[in-house]
Amino acid sequence: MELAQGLVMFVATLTMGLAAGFLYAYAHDIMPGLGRSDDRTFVAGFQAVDRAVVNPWFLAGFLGAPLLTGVAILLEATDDGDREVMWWSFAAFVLYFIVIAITRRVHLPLNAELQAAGDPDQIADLAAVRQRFEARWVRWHVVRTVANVAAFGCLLWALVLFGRAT
Amino acid sequence: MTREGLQAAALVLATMTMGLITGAFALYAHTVMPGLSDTDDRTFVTAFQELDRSIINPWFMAGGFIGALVFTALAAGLHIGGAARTVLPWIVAALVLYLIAVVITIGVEVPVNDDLKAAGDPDQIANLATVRNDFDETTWARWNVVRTLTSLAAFGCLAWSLVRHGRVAASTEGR
Repeated sequence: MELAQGLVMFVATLTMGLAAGFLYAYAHDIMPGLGRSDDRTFVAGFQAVDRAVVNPWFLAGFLGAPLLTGVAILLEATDDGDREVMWWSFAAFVLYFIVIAITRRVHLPLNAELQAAGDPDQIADLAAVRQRFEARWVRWHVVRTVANVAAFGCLLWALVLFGRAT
Repeated sequence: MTREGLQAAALVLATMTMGLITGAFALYAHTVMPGLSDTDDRTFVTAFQELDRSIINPWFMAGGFIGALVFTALAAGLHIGGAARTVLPWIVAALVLYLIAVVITIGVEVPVNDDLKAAGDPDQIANLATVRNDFDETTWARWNVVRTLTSLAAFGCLAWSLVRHGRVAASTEGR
């Protein structure tokens, strides 16, 4: 049981770290970089990257992180040791839930809208399309990145506590 | 702060920055490069130039690229000697694996990135297809996969050393 718990926590931490690093890189690199580009590059670039993001590697991180964290909590809850490890994992789970909620409420609709604008060469007013998208996307992105990095930190600390307890 | 506290802090920071940099490499591997590869030459060159200019920022350097190296080396140094030395092999393995990623970055990726930026404003480039071809995105992407894998392995070693560190700390406390 302890081995299973350790393994699940370990893989949960890796997927959470990859998810956090993914959002973090959008925050400090992708959005500032595309942000400095002209409207056509911004729209074409974001559309292309967004089409590529639905891939098994990304989904393994994005969905694997909460799933594995959830399983880790269940395994920790059935353990009769102290509950500290479980609470840190639970904090990570709640924080990541915020990430998912923001993604669903803000980012997915905006992404869909940008895709729906179609081929950038056929868009009459690229600046307007960009304006409806960029500022709101970036603002909420900072919030979900902070939540995701914090979730990652909680799992790292849970690993230390797990090591102490076993 | 006790020595054990310092070790834990360095190790958590090392693992966090290693996870963040691995996530960044992975993002380029599974999303950015496949996505940009489908775009026209002008979009590709402009977008890559801007992404490359933006990545030189304190969040990336301290919170990822350089931070992972410094914090892992620091964690290794703090685990030399005493009961903590059983954790050391894992941290050293992480350091070596990550050094491979740093060497690939500086030796392979940065030179072609610089060449692409040196090509200048995309609107002034006579033959965008040649510039894109010289950049050789296939080779870039292949080496990026290699550094993603070595960083991921380093990240795994550090996450495991957190557990090992906890065990050593508990045993020396006599619990």
